[in-house]
Amino acid sequence: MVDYSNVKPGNDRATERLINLVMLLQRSTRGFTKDEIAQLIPQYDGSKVEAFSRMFERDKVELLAAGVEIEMYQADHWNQDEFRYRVKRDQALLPELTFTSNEMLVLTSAILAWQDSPNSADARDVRHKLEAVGVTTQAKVADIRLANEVDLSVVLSAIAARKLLKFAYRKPGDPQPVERKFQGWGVALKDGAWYLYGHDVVRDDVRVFNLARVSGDFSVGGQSNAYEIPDSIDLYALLNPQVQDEQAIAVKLHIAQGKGSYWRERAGMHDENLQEATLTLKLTHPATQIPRLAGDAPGVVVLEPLAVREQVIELIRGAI
Amino acid sequence: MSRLEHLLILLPWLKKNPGVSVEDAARHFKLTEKQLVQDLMLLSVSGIGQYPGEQFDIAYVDGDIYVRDSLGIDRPVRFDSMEAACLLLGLESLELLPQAVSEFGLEDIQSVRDKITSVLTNIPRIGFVEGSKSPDPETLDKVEEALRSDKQLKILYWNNSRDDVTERKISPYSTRLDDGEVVLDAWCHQSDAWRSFRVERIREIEILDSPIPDVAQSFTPMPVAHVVVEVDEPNQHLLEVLTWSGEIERENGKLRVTAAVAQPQWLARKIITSGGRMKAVSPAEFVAQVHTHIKQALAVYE
Repeated sequence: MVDYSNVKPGNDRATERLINLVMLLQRSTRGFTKDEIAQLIPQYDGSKVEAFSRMFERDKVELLAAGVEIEMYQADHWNQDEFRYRVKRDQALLPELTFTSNEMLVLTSAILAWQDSPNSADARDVRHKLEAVGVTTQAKVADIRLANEVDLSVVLSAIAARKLLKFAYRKPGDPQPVERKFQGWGVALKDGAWYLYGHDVVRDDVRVFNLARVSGDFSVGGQSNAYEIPDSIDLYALLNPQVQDEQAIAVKLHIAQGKGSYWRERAGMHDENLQEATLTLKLTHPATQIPRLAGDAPGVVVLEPLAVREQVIELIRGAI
Repeated sequence: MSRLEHLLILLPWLKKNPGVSVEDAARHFKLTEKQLVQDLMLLSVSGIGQYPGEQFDIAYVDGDIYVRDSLGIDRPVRFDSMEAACLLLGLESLELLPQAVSEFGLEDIQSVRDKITSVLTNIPRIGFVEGSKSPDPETLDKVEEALRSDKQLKILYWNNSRDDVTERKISPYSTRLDDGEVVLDAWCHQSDAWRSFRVERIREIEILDSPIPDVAQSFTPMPVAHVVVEVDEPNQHLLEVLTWSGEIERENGKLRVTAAVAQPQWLARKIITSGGRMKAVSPAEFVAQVHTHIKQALAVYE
């Protein structure tokens, strides 16, 4: 979503027509037929039947995007061809909400967390909506920061509508980003990083993507309700994958005094004085742990096996 | 946001604030006065007939705005999934920060969450998942207790960038939550300076009986160097470990950012971890310090 300051006069006739449509359709619970709508909304007046139909269909989509759903129903049991259209006001509009002054502080702190995020405009809309139902927002009290790098609104609305997401994703080291077609199940925040998880249509498998590695924009395509989200997802297991034991590599390390806390913990050592030590342990995530061993030099030195030692030396040499 | 969405918020807001000035309303919505007036003009000409009850009734009296009839649009439309996410994830964050819980009370945070949830048409699929860096609850409790009672703390802290564990006396100032990670800002009595500690890396913690000294009353973040760092395009993910503001500069397949770095040693570690695919470019003095650390790392293997 863009800033209010970017609101352009745009096609005023279109906005006027949309406002009139909302206003009209929420006036009577019985709703209106297409013919009535065409007559009552001045901006439709004069359109040919076919042009009106197209315009009306587009307007329905626009209104839905703004949160207003137009319901179509058959009012007359005997007249199978006559449909009426209406907006259920109480369903579309936010009910009155009351909060204590402490609760208003809670709300404000929650909303202001998004200040530095690409979704700061959405957070501001929330604030304006709350103020329009009588909530007074206050100054920030708790220092909470949510700083996603990617605009989440497209992702979340696609997931809500169960629509296919398309995006380009760059795996570490790939020369070019690769196009993904994805059925999103949800967004998760773990250890300070944002992830999108769901079903990869092309690979026909469950995947987790780091949102910081998505390049360019998301696009949303196809039908609503194009897929189902499984009821029970073990999110912890999905986002904290365990390596198979056969992939683990046993290493022998020399650790200087006071150094290598990460490795001491993994070797199950509980020496509070952190004495100089030689220890053996298994690398369960070699792809990230071997670079880490290189970064921990000179405090930590790989003694065995030679293959790991050589990889570490290569990484350090590369850095010079 | 479309202009329609904007108008659907503006209209009920004006209804709720009768007599608001054009100036105040424009400032509130971050619009120019001209833009706001254009919105009012658009609303004034909208309507489906000529008679009262068929047109919006908006009046300006001495530059003040009165919406007398908003034709039923007297409340904004419900929250969309992103707006709901802003609220729910923000509230969930507050629950993760003990200082916020003690400030507001868990019951009030939860009652806000219940009220918001009751008006949502569907719950956005977004939330925190526990990982390896979730802080220990007992440590968090002690930090919060020290903050509440204005007491110093003795901590055993693992500094990840230097890979050492040091004992420090600190005067806690405040805790904050950065994308779910709890950070403690405190005056460090060992370095006589302000420091920020990741609570997850506190290995041992003890509340001392000493009060907070006057020096520790207003927090200023630790100074940082601004270092230009470069990677090849396929290695853009390496930049994720850095903190920078502004855009990534792109030139001939190279990406450059100006990162805020507290210690040369920290950057040396990241460069080694990348096998040199990430490089420090300038300033020269800082780059030289980084190289000294890399040479020390290589020396133990030669």
